[in-house]
Amino acid sequence: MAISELPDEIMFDILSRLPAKCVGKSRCVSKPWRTILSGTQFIKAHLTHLKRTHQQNLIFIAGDFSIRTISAVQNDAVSRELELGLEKRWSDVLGSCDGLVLLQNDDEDKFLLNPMTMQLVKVPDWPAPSYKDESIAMHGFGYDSSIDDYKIVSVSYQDPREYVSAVVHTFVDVYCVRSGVWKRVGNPPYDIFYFLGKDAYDHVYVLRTPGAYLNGAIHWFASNANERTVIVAFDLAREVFDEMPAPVGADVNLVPYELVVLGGCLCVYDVQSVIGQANVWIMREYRSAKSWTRFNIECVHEWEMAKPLCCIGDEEVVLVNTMAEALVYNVKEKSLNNMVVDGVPANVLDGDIFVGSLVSPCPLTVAEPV
Amino acid sequence: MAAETGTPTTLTLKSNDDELFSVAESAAILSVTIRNMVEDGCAGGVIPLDNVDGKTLASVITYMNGISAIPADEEKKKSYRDKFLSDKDFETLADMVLAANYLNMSCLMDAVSAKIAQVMEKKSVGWVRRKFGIENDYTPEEEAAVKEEHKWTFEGVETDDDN
Repeated sequence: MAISELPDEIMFDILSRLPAKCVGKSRCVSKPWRTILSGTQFIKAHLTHLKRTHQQNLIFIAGDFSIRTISAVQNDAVSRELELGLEKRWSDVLGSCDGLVLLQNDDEDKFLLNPMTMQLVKVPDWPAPSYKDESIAMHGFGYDSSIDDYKIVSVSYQDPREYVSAVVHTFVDVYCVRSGVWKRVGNPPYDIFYFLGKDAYDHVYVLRTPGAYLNGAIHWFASNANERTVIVAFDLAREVFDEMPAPVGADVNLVPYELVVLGGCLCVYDVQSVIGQANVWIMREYRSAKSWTRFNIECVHEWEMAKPLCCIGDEEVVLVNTMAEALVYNVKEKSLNNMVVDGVPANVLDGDIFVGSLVSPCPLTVAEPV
Repeated sequence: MAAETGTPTTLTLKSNDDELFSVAESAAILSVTIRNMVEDGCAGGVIPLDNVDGKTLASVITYMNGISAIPADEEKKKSYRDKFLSDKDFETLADMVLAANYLNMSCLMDAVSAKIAQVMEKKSVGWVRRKFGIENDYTPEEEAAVKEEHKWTFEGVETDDDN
């Protein structure tokens, strides 16, 4: 038989397995194909297949402040610069979910990018509790399945370097991507942690940690009403914080720790590692205190905060240190080497993994490209 | 039951072009459609499969026998599927996906759909139109515009339109 006789639902299923680039190409086949392949239902089916294949790509801010990607993250790979047509210097990758990446530039403007389709949208500013320059905001980004929308969460304080006050207000604000609207969801009964650190040149900096998104919630370290350090999970659907167990053995009240997601698990690492060793814990099973598993990263210098970015296979972890070096740590061999990108040791300021989806960063009110 | 005497039960399947095939029941029930017939006691005589031709049915039976001979090892089953589909042309794959759909064989369906998508990956827009019998309803201006909008999809992609 001719393949043209295939029923629509089988065709739909086959097309939803194509890589994003090939879907884009297929939209050029005909107008009906374009309509089907641009629909919400198709983009969701495509995302479902993507998640099954587990292909992880890396997006990172290079030493020259440009945004680059590596498809199918691995060592000794070739990267590609994304021409986003902005003169700004990129500074942070604040989050990544379903192929959308939340980026921040030097002016603290935030943008949502789909690195695959190259759609880039500026996130509107939200009036912070005080002037932008005098407040500290930490962000998280994730998906709320209850309303089928992506949300940016902002936790903000007055900057402790500017204000010395016994009362520090914490504000939690949520931005819904599709509706394009910010709203305030109240003051949490927690102090979400940020850290004042000193860099290699003794400059005081505020270490603002992006929230780690996993399982419909954004996670931060915080102290509760009893001044105990806990992990809080901001549930994106209910818009409330829940407490979660911190790893046993991590002295979270004394040493600053950060949270990231590594290999699909919540991961804690210490920000001020002692000479020659950094501690990393992985929560193998979500919400299970017993499942925290510790491993050490050897040969990290004292001032080198090394943030785990992603895994390569089962054995290697990509880390970025404060000197903007990307390193590959082999858990089995306990070896730490520079990550090679484009034939040279990579300079990476920040980064995250992403999947090659067709999800749009545009609010629904803005006409999407037809 | 035949199984108790040591002789495996065989079923007779009939294609829509009247070819008859014998297949072990244990292999044939990979098809949920056939399994339901067996469970309903409708598999005593010849099982007519009105939506599958002889050539395709022969191929599906080869697959049924091959995959059911592999013990429960998902990796090995996957590599068998990959090998089984590796030499199939595009039209055969189309027949297989329809047959797998009709016979309700989700693993085969999944593998064939993935294989068709994999073949399409490297093909040009023109190739897809020809193979799928799709009329280009864009005007040249519209086509240029839609390609410009999707230029991210054409970067660094080489097409290979053979077969």
